[in-house]
Amino acid sequence: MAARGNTGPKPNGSAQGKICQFKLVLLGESAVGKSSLVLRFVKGQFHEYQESTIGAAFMTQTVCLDDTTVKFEIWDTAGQERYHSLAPMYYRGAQAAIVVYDISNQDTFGRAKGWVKELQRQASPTIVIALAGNKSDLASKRMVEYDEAQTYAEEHGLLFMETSAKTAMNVNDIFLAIAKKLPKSGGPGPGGDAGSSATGRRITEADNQPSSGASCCK
Amino acid sequence: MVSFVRRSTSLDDAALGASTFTASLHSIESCGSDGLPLTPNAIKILGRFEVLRNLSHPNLCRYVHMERGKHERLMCVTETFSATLQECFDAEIFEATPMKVKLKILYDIVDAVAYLRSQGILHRNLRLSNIMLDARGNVKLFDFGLFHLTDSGCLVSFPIGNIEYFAPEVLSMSHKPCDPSYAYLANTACDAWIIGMLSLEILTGRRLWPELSADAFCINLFKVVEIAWLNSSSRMKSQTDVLDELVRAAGLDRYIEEWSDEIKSFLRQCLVIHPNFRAEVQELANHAIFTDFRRLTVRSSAKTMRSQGRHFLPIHLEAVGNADTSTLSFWNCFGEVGEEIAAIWRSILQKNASDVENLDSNSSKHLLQQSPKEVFFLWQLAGGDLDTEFRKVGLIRTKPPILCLPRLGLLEGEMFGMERDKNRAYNKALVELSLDQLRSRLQNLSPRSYYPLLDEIEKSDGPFSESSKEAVKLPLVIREKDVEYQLHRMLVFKRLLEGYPFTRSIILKEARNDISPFYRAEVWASLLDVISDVEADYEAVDKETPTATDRQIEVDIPRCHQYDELLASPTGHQKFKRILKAWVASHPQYVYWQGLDSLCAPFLRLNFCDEALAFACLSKFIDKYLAGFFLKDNSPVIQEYLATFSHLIAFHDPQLFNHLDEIGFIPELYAIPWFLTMYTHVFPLPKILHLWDKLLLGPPSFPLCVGVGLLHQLRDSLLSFSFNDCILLFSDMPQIDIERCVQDSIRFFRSTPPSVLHRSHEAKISFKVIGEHLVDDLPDMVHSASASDKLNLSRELEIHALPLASLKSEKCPRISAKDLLDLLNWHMGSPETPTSPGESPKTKVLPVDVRPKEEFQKGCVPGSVNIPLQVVLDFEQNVTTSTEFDVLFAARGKIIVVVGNRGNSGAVRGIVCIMNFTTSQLSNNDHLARLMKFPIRRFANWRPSTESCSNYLLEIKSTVLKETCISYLIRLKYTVTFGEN
Ligand SMILES: Nc1nc2c(ncn2[C@@H]2O[C@H](COP(=O)(O)OP(=O)(O)OP(=O)(O)O)[C@@H](O)[C@H]2O)c(=O)[nH]1
Ligand SMILES: [Mg+2]
Repeated sequence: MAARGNTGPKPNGSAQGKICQFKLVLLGESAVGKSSLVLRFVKGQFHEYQESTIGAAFMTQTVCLDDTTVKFEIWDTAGQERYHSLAPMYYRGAQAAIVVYDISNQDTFGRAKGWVKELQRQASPTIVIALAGNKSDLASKRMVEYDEAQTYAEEHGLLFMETSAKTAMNVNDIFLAIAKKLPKSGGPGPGGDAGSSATGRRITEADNQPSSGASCCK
Repeated sequence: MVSFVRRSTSLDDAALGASTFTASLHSIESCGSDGLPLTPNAIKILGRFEVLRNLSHPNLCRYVHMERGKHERLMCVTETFSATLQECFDAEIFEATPMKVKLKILYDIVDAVAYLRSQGILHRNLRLSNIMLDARGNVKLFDFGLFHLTDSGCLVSFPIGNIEYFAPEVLSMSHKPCDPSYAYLANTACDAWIIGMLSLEILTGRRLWPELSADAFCINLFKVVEIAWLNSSSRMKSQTDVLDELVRAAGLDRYIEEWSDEIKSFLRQCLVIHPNFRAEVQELANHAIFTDFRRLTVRSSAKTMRSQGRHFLPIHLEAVGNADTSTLSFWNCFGEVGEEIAAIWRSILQKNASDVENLDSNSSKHLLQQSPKEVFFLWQLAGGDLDTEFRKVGLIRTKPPILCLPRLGLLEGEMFGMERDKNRAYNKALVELSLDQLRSRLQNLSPRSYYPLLDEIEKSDGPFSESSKEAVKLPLVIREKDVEYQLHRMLVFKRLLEGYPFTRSIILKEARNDISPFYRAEVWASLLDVISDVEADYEAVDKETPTATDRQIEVDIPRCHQYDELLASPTGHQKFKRILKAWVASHPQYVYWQGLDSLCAPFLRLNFCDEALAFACLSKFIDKYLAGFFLKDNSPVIQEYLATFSHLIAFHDPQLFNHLDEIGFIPELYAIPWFLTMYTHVFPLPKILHLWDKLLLGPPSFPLCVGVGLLHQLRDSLLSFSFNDCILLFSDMPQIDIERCVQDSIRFFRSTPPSVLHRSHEAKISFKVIGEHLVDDLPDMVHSASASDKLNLSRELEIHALPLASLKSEKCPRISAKDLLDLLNWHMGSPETPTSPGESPKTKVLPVDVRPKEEFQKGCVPGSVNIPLQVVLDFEQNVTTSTEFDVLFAARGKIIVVVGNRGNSGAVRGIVCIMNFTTSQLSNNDHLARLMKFPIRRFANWRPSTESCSNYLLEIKSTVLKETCISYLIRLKYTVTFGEN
């Protein structure tokens, strides 16, 4: 674990200012590059044979915004439709979500719209949602037009960028854009204590009570 | 004619030869359509190699091994023989050799090529120097796979084959070898033409135009073709052959006059100009000129035996396929008149025979009775390394990188002025691998060691050297490097597999020590009880029709264990897809969940040449270990599995459980990929192989214990980590010592009462055999099957499934009454003479009875203490210590079993908490004093509501007896042992 979070954007050293902790979840069809985006953001790497995700994976990364240090707790979920029912467990309580599609595959864009709809209906009302059209390096195989996605994003109040985990294009930018949009002072409680701040809540047992409807692998 | 069958599979008078070539490089930075790097050509070749490794024909040099070196270099090991047809040709003995001998040679060649064709392989590389002969005069085709390996030459930058033998249509298009449209037809017909040209040389002992360059040769050939074409009558044009023109042009007319019409017809069929009308190789093999040599039907029947209902037999009937069963042996073909020329042949073919005689020291003789693959496996263990061998003879040279730089590079990435690397040029040279080092490592082995008998293995007193017996005690990694030990294990498993399925129980027993890596695929199949006609089963499944699952399978395969060269090869991807589709298609009740790919990987990797067996193993494995996991709605199954896992952690490591529970690090967040893929998504293949070697010996519940073993190994980190750290730890699994993990898991498994692992969704298969092999040699084992068998108690002593909700809400496991009896060491075989009353049985368990005093006094489990519910409640209210609990303090380290009445479940849970809470303070002797203060403080904070109970959980092992059982226990006739107070 030594390599964790030692590349990518770093705090700029000035330890002054607030520390905010946010829970961010990645959603989207399988193989659109969710794990690859996280890996690029957290470790600055790209694995062409990135393993598929089963259940979910977790990473953290810190970025600096002016005088605020923003720590992302990133939940990378499994894309296969069957794992859908696990998703609420991860997006519940999340302050931000990145919905990813693959610009070279129209179906994945459709699926992304589905996720947006579900988040807007069921996730926290204040959740910041970003739409990422990944694999922008595959311009020659493009199936989803930039404008189409852009228009959709505007209509639904989403942040939007085309990204490429392979070339690193817009990867840090999209996380930074999210960090900017997240409320940093308005939240109750002192920003300094990340663990107990209302904005940075980890998944706790309460999220997994059977009564709450989270069911595994359904 | 000495026992051919025995000799046939052995290396015998063959040697191991190694050759090397390099695959062509992709230009730097080139990407596939998915934007990802292209699969290196060398990896494509490796994937294509495996089918060659499985070929078996008496006239083929067997392929043994191929590996990938640096810079796209491939190193290939095959069987080789000392003489080539080229040498015989150069000795100019063909002319004097009787026709029958030459036809025999031709027959061997044609039959082998026809066999290759039947396996979908084109030779294209026939030439005299690639045709070897063994000491008995049998033809052995060498290097016959190069064209197939390189995907018709596309993957290498050198030409393949002897241009003088090429058919006209190939010569005219050879500049474009990979053009798929034209190539197929031309290629399949080309082998027949090659055979024709080669036959002419063999029959005449002359080359057509020996003095001509390749260019001039081709010009001559085209002239001949043109004349023949013009001369033929228009009606027969398509059948036109070049035989007459060719021999005339080459001045070989005098030979052809002596030949029978049959021979001429054979040659004509080969040398038809139009590829569509040329004979198929199979037709050539059936030609009348070969009637005398045609093999008895043994081989083909062996083949049909395999294809028509091969039941899984781990050791194939390769022996039959290899036996020399032709009616006429090579030497017989010479007849009386050919004595003299036969002697010359003999001197060439057997020039090395004397060496073999000399080497006849004991062990080497027996070593050579092993198959080439086995010998090579041992050769590597004995320190053999292909790269080193090639360097020794200068076939691989290291050039300092500085000398490889281009003179000029453009910013666009183009390079100029690079010297052509001679290292990469094709060199046909063959390096014989010396077995001396291996021989010397094995010299102390007695000949008897090579032939272990079944009953010797069964009694574990095989004829093996002392050192092998000693080696069993060494760590696995060392054993796997030990030549002598591995030879021993190989021989044992080979012997056992030959007797499968009758030897299955001995295989299970032997596998407990370790599994020979050489025979792992077959041993796993036998452990999984694969026994059906795997090939027919697999054939019958529809693997082709597109389904909705295909997209997911297609995106998962290129992400699954791709560091492995075979799994990363295109051949590997195709096989992968077929097996996964076959599994989904043949299990309509199940669906494809991401993760099935990882699960399939070890089986495909081990059975790369045997998809059917890989599929059979996968199916059996899932049925046994993952019943219900691949249901469309697998939620109840997985939830129950995870709840059981959670209980198991609480049972074995309460302290860790408390910590993880407190920080909310629940199995749902990290353990789904562990169990759904049986750890294949978590570990790289080499580790999985070792883990599964043992996992396959366990019952369906064993993988749960592996999970606890894993946590145990990371215990210190986990205990000190926060939630985030814990989850990060498992997002990227740290280094795990698998052997230790396996040992720990087995230890946990052995000390777990079976009912703790009870799951309602567990596979309903009989594991009477399975239960025994992780367990039976343990005197202290709690699973004492015999005791309970004799008891034949009411089913009520068994555990009953709990509803999922209660399973999840309880923190420690329940056990069955039967397990309590076992824990108490009651040997029920003699219930009349139980432990004498009053004498508390020396067990690891303390039963705590929570029923009211009156009930307790009527009858109870001996050795149990009574802490009625009321006392518990009082205790909750009073901060003062109750004397009732002193007994619990004394019982630290024991398993506490709470015994109560039906319906007390809430209270029962409460007492478990209290007891564990109080007892835990004493669990650590060293810090006794400190701990004694600690509880008071904690106790003071403690709120006695049911909910908070669960937050202070057990730091000692504890278990709840399924409460309905108590009444049965007491109603049973064992009053002698009960209620003596
Ligand atoms: N060309 C290109 N390929 C990419 C890019 N991002 C990811 N990939 C490739 O796409 C494939 C899938 O990427 P993953 O990150 O595993 O996709 P995922 O969304 O996490 O998939 P699941 O875990 O199955 O949900 C991998 O082979 C990546 O190498 C990209 O930006 N450009
Ligand atoms: Mg992923």
